[in-house]
Amino acid sequence: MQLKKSAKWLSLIGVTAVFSTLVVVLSLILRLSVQDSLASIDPIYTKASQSIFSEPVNPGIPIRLLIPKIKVDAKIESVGLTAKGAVGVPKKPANTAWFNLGARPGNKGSAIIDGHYGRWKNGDSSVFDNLNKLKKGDKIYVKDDKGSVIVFVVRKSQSYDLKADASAVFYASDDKAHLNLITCEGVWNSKTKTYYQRLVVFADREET
Amino acid sequence: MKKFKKVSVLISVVSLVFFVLGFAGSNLAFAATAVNLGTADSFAVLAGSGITNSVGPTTVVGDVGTFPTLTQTGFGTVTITGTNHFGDATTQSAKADLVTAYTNAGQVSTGLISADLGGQILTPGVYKDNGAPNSLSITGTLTLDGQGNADAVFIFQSASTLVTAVNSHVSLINGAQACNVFWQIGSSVTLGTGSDFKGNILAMDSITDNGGSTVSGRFLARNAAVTLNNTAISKAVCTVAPVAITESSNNNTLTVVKHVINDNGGKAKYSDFPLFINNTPVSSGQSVSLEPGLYKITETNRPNYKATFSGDCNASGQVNHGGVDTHNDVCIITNDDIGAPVAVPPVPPLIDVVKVPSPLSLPAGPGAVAYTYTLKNIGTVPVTDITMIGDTCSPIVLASGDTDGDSKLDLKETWVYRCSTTLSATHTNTVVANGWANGLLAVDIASATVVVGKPLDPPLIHVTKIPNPLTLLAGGGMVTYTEKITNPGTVALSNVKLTDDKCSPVKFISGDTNNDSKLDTTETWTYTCRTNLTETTTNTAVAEGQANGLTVRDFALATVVVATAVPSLPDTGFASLTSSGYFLILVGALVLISVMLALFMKKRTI
Repeated sequence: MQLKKSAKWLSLIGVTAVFSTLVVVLSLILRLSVQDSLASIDPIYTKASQSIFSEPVNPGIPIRLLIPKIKVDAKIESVGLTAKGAVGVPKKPANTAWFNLGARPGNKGSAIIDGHYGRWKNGDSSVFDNLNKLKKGDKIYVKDDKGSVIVFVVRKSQSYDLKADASAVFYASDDKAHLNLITCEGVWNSKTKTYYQRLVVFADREET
Repeated sequence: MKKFKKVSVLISVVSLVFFVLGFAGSNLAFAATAVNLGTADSFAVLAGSGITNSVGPTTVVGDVGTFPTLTQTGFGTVTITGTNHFGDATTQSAKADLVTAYTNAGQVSTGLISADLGGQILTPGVYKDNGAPNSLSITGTLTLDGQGNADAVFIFQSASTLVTAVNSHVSLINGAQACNVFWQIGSSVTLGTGSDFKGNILAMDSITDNGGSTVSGRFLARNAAVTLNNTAISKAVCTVAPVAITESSNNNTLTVVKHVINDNGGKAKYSDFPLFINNTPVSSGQSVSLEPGLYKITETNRPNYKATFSGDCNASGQVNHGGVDTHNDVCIITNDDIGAPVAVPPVPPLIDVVKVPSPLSLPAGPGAVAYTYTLKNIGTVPVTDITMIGDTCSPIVLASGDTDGDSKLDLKETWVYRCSTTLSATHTNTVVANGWANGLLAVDIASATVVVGKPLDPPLIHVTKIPNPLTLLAGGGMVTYTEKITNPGTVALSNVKLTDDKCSPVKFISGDTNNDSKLDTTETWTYTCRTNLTETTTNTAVAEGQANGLTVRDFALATVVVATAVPSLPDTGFASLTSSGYFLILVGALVLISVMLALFMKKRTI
C-alpha cells in the first residue's frame, strides 16, 4: 500500500509535467502559425510581392518595421542619444527604435533602427532575437507616418566589439539611402550588464 | 616693420580670399604681401652715392644714411627728426636689407598696367608696367582703395623709371596705408614739383624731388644719389588709430557682441574675453559712438577657443564704420571651445528680442520715450542667466513674463522689459539680449530709431531665424534655416533684403499677401535656406528694409551644434534575464527527469 500510494503520487507529477510541456510546445507552434497567417494577409506583404511601391520623396517619421523572414512586425519608437553618447534603445522588448539624430529611413545616409535581444523578465522574447538569421537579399520594410513604405535589401551582417570604430554604421560613403539594424550578440558580460558584441545588419534601399 | 612679418601671412590669406572671390575688381592683380624692409625700416632717406639737398628748407622724419659714397650736401637746411647715420654700420646693414627688400618687392604680377597711373582707382595687388613704355607715371591723382582692410598691400613695379607730374597726388582710401605701398623701380625716380606722394620707393638708381613735394613713405636708393629739394618726407608707419570712445549719442555707433559656444566641455563666460576697439577696452553689448573710419576689433583670447567674426566685421575683425551707408555697426565675435570629442551635442538655446519705442517720433522736439522689449524663447530648451544690455537707456526693468518665478526663460514665456528715457535728437539705440543653456550663449540684438523734430515715423524691422535640426551627429549634415521677417512699426518697408553670412541662397517662400513688394505691418515674410554643416556653426542673418528715407536692420543669430565623436552602439540586451530563463527551463527539465527516473526506479522495486 505504501508503495502503491507513492507510485500514484509520482505518476501524477509525471503526467502534469508532460502535459505542461505539451501546452508550451503547442502554444509556441500556434503563435508561429498565427504570425505566418498574419504575414500572408498583411497588405504590405501583398504589395511587396507586387512591387508597386511609390518612392516617397520626403520620407516621414518611421512608425513600423516589418521583416517577414524573421517574423518581425514591430512598432518603431523614436530615440536619441543616452547621456553617455550611446544610441537609445526601445522601451519595450517587442518594439524597435529609430535613432532620430540620424537619417530617416529612405533619406540619403544611414538610418539606424535598433531592437532588443534576449528574454525579458516575464519570459517574452525580444524583437531582434533572430536578427542573425537575415541573409543577403532579405527584405526589410519601413512604414512611415505618411503611409509610405520604403523597402530595403540586406547587404551584409557584421559583428562589432563594443570598442570597435562604429563610424561605418552611422555614416554612408555614398549618396544612397541605407538602413542599419542593430542588436546585441555574443556572450553576456555580467559585470558590465551587457553583451560583448553588437550585430549590425546593413541594408540598402531597394533600387526600383 | 616686425609687425609685417606677423601679418604678412594673414594678408596673403585675406588677399587670396579676395582674389578667389573675385573682389579684386576689374583691374585684377595678384595678391601682394607686404615687403619686409628689415633694418631699412627706420630710414626715411637712404642712398648709395650721396644725398644732396638742393634747396631748403627740407624736413625729414626718420633716419638718414648713405653708403658706399659718404657725401651729404646742403644739409644746413635739413631738419632731421631721427638719426643721421651717414655711412655707419646701421646704414650699411640697411643697405644690405634694401637689396633683399628690392628682391622681395619683385612679386609675381598679373596686373599689367598702362604707364600713367593718374585717374586710376586701384585695389590691393601687384601691378607691373605693361612694357609700353617700360615706365610708370602719375599725372593727376592715383587712388588706392584698401577695401576696408588696413593691411591691404599695393606693389608697383617699373622696369625703368617712375615720373610724377607737377602737383600729382596719391590718394589713400578705405583703409589703405602708405606703409603698405611699395614702388620697385628699375632705374630712377623723379617727383614733379609739389607732388603729394605715398609709399616706399625702392629704386635701383637715383631718386629726385624737383621741389616742394610731400612724401609719406621712404626714399631708398640702392646705387645712386637722393636729391631733396624743399621736401617734406616722413617715413610711413602703419598705424592703428586710437579711439576716443563715448557713450552713443547719435546714429553712428559700433556695438561689439560676444558669443560663446562651449560644446566640448569648455567653461568660459562671455566676460572671460576682454574686447577692444583699436586697443581700447569695450564690453560686450556696449554701443559706442565713433567717428567714421576703419576700426579693428580684437579680444584677449583664451587657450582652446577659436574665434570667428560676423556681422559688419570682416574675417579679420575690421569694420569700415560710417562709410557710404551710415548705420549702426554690429560686430559679433564667436568663441567656440576646442576640447575632447563629444558624442552628445548640447542643444543650443535660441532667443528673440524685439524693441519698440513709444512714441516712434517726437515732432515737437525733445521729449520722453518709453521702450518696450519683448523677449521670447524660440528654441527647445529653457534659458537661464538672462541679461539685457542697452545703450542710452537704463535701467531696463523686467515688467512681466516669468510666470513661474524660476528666473528661467521657459519655452512658453514672453518676458516684457521696459525702459524710459528722454531724447533730444533723432537716435537709434541697440539692445543685446543674452542667455545661457547647456554651456552655450544665446544672443539676439534689436535696434530702434526715434525721430526727434520731424513728423516722421521711422521704420522698424524684426527677423527670427530657427535652424532645423539644432544639433547634428559627428560629421554634420544638412540644416534648414527658416527666417521670418516682420514689421513691428507703423510704416510699410520697401527694399526688404535678407542675407546670411554662412548660408546661401536665402529663398523667399511667402508672405507678401497683397503682392505690393512691401513688408506691411500685418505681414510675415518667410524665407528658407539650406546648407551642409560639418562643424558647430553660428550664422548671422541680417534683415534690412527702408521707409521714410531711413534704413533699418535687424540681426538674428543661430547656432547649430555638430558633435565631434561617433556615438556608441546601443545597449540592446536583456541577457541576465535570458540566462535566468534558461536556468528555469534547466531546473524544470532536471525536476522532470528526476521524477521520471524515480518513478521508473519505484516501479522496478515493485
